[in-house]
Amino acid sequence: MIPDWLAQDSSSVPLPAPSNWGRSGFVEKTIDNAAHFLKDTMVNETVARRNGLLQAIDPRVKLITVLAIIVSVSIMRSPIIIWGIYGFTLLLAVASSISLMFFIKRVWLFIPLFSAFIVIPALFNVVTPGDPVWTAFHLAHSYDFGPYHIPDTITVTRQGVLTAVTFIGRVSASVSLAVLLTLTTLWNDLLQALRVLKVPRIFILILGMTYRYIILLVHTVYDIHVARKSRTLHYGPTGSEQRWVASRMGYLLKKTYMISQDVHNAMLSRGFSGDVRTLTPSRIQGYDYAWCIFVLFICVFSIVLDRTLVPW
Amino acid sequence: MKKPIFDLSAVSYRYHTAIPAIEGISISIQPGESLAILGANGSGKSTLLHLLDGLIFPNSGTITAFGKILTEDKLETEDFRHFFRSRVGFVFQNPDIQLFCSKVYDEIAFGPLQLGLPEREVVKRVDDVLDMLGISSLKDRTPNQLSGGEKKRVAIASVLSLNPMVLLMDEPTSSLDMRTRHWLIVLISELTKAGKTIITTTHDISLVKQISSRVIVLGEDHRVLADGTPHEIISDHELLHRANIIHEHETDTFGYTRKPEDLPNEKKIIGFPHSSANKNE
Repeated sequence: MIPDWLAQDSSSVPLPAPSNWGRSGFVEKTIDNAAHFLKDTMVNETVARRNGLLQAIDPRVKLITVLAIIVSVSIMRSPIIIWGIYGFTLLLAVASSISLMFFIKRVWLFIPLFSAFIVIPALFNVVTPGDPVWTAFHLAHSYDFGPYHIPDTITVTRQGVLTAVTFIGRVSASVSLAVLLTLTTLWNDLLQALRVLKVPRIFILILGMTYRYIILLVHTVYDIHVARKSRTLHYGPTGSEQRWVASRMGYLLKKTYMISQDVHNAMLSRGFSGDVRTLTPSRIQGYDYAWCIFVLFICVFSIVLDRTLVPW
Repeated sequence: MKKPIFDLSAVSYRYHTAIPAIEGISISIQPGESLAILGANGSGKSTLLHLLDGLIFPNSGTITAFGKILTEDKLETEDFRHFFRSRVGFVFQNPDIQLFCSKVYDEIAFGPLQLGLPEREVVKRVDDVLDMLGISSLKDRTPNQLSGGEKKRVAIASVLSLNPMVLLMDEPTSSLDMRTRHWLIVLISELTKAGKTIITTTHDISLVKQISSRVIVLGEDHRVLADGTPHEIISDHELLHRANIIHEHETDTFGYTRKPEDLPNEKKIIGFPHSSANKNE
């Protein structure tokens, strides 16, 4: 019944020279990225389930209070106070059983990306005129482009450094608060908490389902690529590999569409008619009120101090 | 005789109006019946359940549910939708399709909430079902954190919280480990004793005797091949063979058909590792 070649001992197939084994390329990268995403999801959930200061606070209260601190930071002008708030976020991370190194790495991974490009020009007298602290280079003469003036000596100014430090501090504190919020709250609880901001229920349900099925589809992507890897002796030319990727993307899109139809049927089957009803969230506890008062105090105190250090 | 819950008359369904899935099926299902729909892959079992749940509608023929003809327009009306959805629950084959909420607790509460039950009643039902199925420890988990067996339990819980009169189960034991499979068989027996109508699709004949009092066999031509008691169906080897539910080599696994040594020699090519016929080769 089975053909002759299937009955042969495959150990007779020679091992190719290492130079012919080919590049791992996108298959490995996709597997790594998918595994990294799934690992990140698990790490986040593990942190959110730990016993800690922020984990114990109701997600709605946490969302509102974190937003309040972010707004406060955005109207502060003293770098000392802003960096003080950043220091406060580090304390909150420790109190919430988050490793300081892990937290700092996660925050600072994004900050340079978003703020460095914006802040570098602000250091120089071209953008922020003021007292020079370091001369970068000299031009032959100064230039004027309409309202813009470029002096013949390009320097880093004290005011520029202050602007940059304030800006980076503001971004660091805000990103740290956002990271604290997402790390100490289960994603689904965070979505439910959006109800306090009057986000419609159906929108929250769709966001929750999107998150749920993105994870499922990432698992599928991982499985597809691992299956491909397990049957690949060496990778082909870039063109054929790109065609394979395109075909898998098409397959995934089709699968997503089929899943959406099936999920819709499953929802209809359990009485869904387009108007979502959900359980009323649990009541806010005394602990949450205490946290609200504490955050209010921090915000008011730091804004007053900020105004004292840098008057209007 | 009681009024049937479902009455199908010459029902046919074709996917994209071309690919046949169900052809001219006429059956009646009585309240309290435990019915197994047996058939090979692609015979139309799942399609039949989708038709019974009013998720798709026949191209021809009629389905009467609870004395009313089941149509798309009828299910659009609030009153009938509420009436029908609170009485018929569907456990899908793939629990990942069914578990679309963020948390297990919300998943089980979803159905009763959509049917407008008071919140206190919903919470009581969810807690009771979690307790009954022994999954209280999973209530705060997300579906992604559940094993296959746990997902199946939660999917069943999400339907039981509706307290349906009719439970449609699509291949309920597929890809379950032996312990979860046994747990499910016991649960189905208890639900049957409690008076629920259980309609299960399967291609696993070992399951049929355990969970049903009536069996309908769908053939590969998408028509009803037979309708009888589990004993009648299982003992008809020719029928099971024709429906592609058993293979002529697949004999002594369940003890229902011929033994390997009874097979003609040309059919012993692969055989069974444990069979005497195979050992002698």
